[in-house]
Amino acid sequence: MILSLNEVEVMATKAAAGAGRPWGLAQEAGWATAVLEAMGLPGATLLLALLRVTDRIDCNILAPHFGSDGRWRANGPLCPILCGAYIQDMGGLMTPITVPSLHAPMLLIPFVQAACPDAAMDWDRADITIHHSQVALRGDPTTTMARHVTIRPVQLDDFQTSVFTHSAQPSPVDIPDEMWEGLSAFAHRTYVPASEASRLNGAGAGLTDND
Amino acid sequence: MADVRHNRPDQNRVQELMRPADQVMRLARMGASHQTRLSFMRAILRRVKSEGWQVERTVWNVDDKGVGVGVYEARGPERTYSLIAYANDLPPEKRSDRVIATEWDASFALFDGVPTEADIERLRNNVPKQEAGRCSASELVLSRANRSVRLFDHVVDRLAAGQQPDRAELDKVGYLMRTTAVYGNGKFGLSDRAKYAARAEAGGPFRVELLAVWLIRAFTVDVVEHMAWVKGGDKAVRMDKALRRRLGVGNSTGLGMAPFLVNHPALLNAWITARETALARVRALPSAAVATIARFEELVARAHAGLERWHTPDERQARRVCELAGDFGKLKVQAKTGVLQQADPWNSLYLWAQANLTLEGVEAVVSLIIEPHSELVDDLAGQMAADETEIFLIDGRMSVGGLAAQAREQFKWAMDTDFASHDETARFWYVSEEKLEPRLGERHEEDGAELEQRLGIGRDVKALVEGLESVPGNMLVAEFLLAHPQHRLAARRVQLASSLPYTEIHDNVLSATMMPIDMLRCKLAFFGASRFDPKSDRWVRITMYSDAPFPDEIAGMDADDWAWPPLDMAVSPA
Repeated sequence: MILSLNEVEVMATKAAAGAGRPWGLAQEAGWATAVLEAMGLPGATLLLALLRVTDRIDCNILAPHFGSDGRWRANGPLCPILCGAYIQDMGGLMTPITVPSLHAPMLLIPFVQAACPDAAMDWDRADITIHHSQVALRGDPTTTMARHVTIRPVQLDDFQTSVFTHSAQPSPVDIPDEMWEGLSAFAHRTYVPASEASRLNGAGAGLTDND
Repeated sequence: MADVRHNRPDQNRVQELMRPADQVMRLARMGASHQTRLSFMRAILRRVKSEGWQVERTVWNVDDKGVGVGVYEARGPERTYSLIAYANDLPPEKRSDRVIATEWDASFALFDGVPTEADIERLRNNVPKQEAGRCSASELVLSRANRSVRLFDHVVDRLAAGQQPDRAELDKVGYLMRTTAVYGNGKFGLSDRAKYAARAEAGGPFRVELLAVWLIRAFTVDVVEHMAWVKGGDKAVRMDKALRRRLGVGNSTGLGMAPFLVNHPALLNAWITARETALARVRALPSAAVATIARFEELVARAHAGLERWHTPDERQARRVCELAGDFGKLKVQAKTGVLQQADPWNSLYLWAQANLTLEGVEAVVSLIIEPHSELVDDLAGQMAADETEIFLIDGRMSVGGLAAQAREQFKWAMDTDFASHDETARFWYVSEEKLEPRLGERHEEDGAELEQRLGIGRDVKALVEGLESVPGNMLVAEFLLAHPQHRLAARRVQLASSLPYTEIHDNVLSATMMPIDMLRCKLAFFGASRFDPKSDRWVRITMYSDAPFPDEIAGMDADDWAWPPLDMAVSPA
C-alpha cells in the first residue's frame, strides 16, 4: 500500500501502544519506523515482527540491566525501542557496547543516528555504518533477532562515507499490505467500541446539523 | 502606522512585558481568543496580494443538477496550486456535518501544480469518498462542504429572478457552504508536510489548507450563480460584489481538533509566542503616532459595529458577545481620555483593559492594539511554524532530582490539582472504533477509560513527580526511564516546557468542568476565524474569510483590512 510517512508514523505509534508499550515509548517506535521507511528500509515489517514476539510483555523483561562493570545484561532478547531510547537519553555512546541479544536490531538505527552522528553496528550476519542521515548496509541486516550486537562510535574516512546506500527520500512509501494489516490489528486495540451513548454524547452532536 | 524608526520598543522591555504562561495558557483565556493580523488567513492574503498571485477558473463542467467539476488555478511567483472541486446533488437526508457522514454537497482537493485530465478522473473516484478514498502525494489538501440549504436556496431563487439576495438573510447565516473537514499533512495518502515545508508560500502553519478554503469560497459563489442561471436563464443575475464579500466559508469543528493543541506542543508554543511577542512589542512602544491612534479608534468602532453580525443561539456565548459590546463601549470612552497621547500608551490601555474588561474584551483589545502596527509585528507571522519531524530528545543525563524540580516549577497548577478526586478525572479522551473519531467519555460512567489517549499531561506529570520522589535524587533520568518507561511522555513534556514557555495548557483537560470548545476556539482564532457559534460544549460553527476580497478582486483592493467589517457595511448595534 502506498502511504504517507505521517500515516506510517501514526499507525506504528498506535500499533506499539496496542501491543502494550506505554504511549511515550510508542511515539518513539512510531518515529523510528517512519525514519527507516523514509530511507527505504523495512521499518514497518520489523516493528510488526517485534510487536508480535513481544506482545504485552512487561517492559522490564525487554530492557537491559547493567553489571557492576557497566556491561549490558539481558535475560532474553531485548527491545530495540527501549535500548534505542536509552542510548538517546544518555546522549550517545562514549564507548562501544554489546547487546547480548536483540530483537530487530535495525530498529536501533534511528536512535543511534540521532544520538551519535558517526557510528557502526555489527553482529555475525551484518554490518551497518551510520554517518549522520546516511546509512550503509552489508550482509543481512533485516534479521528479526541477533546475538552480540555491537554498537560503537567511529571515525569515518572519505572512502567509507562514499559508500552510503540509504538516506531519506521523498515520501510516499510502499508497505506490503499484510504488514499494514498486521499493524492495523494492533492499532485497533487502542480504539473504544462505539455505543449509542458515545455516538450521541461522545462527539457532542445531538443538535441538527442542517440550517 | 507607527513610525518604527523613531519609536522602537526596547528589547528588554519587550521581554518584561511578555505575559506569563500561567496567565495566557489557561483554558478560559484560550477560549476567548480572537483573530489577529498574525492569523494564518490574514498572512495568506497578504502574500497573495503582495506577490500578485493570479487565480483563474480553468475548468467548469457542472450540469443542470449542479453535478460536475470545477478547477481553480492559483498561480504564485514560483508555483501553481489548483483547487479541484467536485459538486454533488445531495439528497437532504444524507446531509450531516458529523465525521460519520458518507456524502457531501461538494468535495475538494488542493493539487500541487496543474492537474491533468487523468488526475481529475483519478480524483473523481476518490475525493468524493473522503476518508474512504485515497489521495496521492500530488494532493496537499482534502476537504468537503455542505450547503446552508436555507441561504443557498434563497440566493438561487433571488438571483434567478434577477434580484439580489436579502442582506439580512445573508448575514444571519454568513456562508453558502460550510466545510466539515479540511485534511492535510499526509492524511488519507495526501502529501506529507515535509514535501512543501521549505516553500516560502506553503511552509507556514496551515497555509495550504487555508489557501484551499479561500478558493472554496469562490467556488461556493460560482455554484450558486450556476444554479441561478439554470433556474432563471437570461433573467438571472450575478451576485453584487459588495454583498458577495460578506459571505465567508462556514465550518463545523468538533472534538477532533481539540487533541491537536495537546499533541503539538512545539507548534502551539510557536503560535502563542508570536502573538505574545507582538503584544509585548506594541505595549513596549514609548509613544503613539496620531495616525496610529486614529486607525485604532476606527478599528474599535468597526469591531463594535461588527458584533451585529456575530449571531449565536448559544446562551453562554450570546451573553459574552453582549458583554463584549459593553466592553467596546467602555474602550471607546477610555481611548478618548488622552491615555494614548501620553507616554507608555498601549501598555497603559492594555493594563486598563485587564483591570476593567471581561476576558473576551481583554483578548479583543490584544487583537485591536496589535492591528495598526503592521511594520512592527508582521515579521512574526513567518515564525509560527515548528519542525515536528524530529523527535524532541530527552536529556537523560540530568538527575532525577533536577527533573522533579523542573516539573514542580513548570506544572505548578498540576501539582495543586487533586487527580484522585472524582471531578478532576471525570472525563477521558478516546478514539472510537467507529470511523476513528476522537470522543470524550465520562470516566466514572462509561466503559473504555483504560484505552484513553494521553491528553491529561498534568496528571501524568504529577504521577512522574511521585515516581521521581520514590528513587534516589542523584539517579540519572535515563536510568529511571529505562525502569519506568510509562513516564517517558511526561518527562519529555517537562523538559520541553522548560525550554519553550507556551507548550502546555495550564488547566486540567480531564476535569468535569473543562469545555472542549475553549481549545477549539484558540486554534480557530489562530486560523483567522471569527463569529464563533458554539453548538454544544464540544463543537462550534465559525465563518472563515468573511469580508475578505475574492480572487477576482484582490488585485484592486486592500487585502488586509477585512478582519472587522467596514463601518458603512455594518449596522450599529442598538
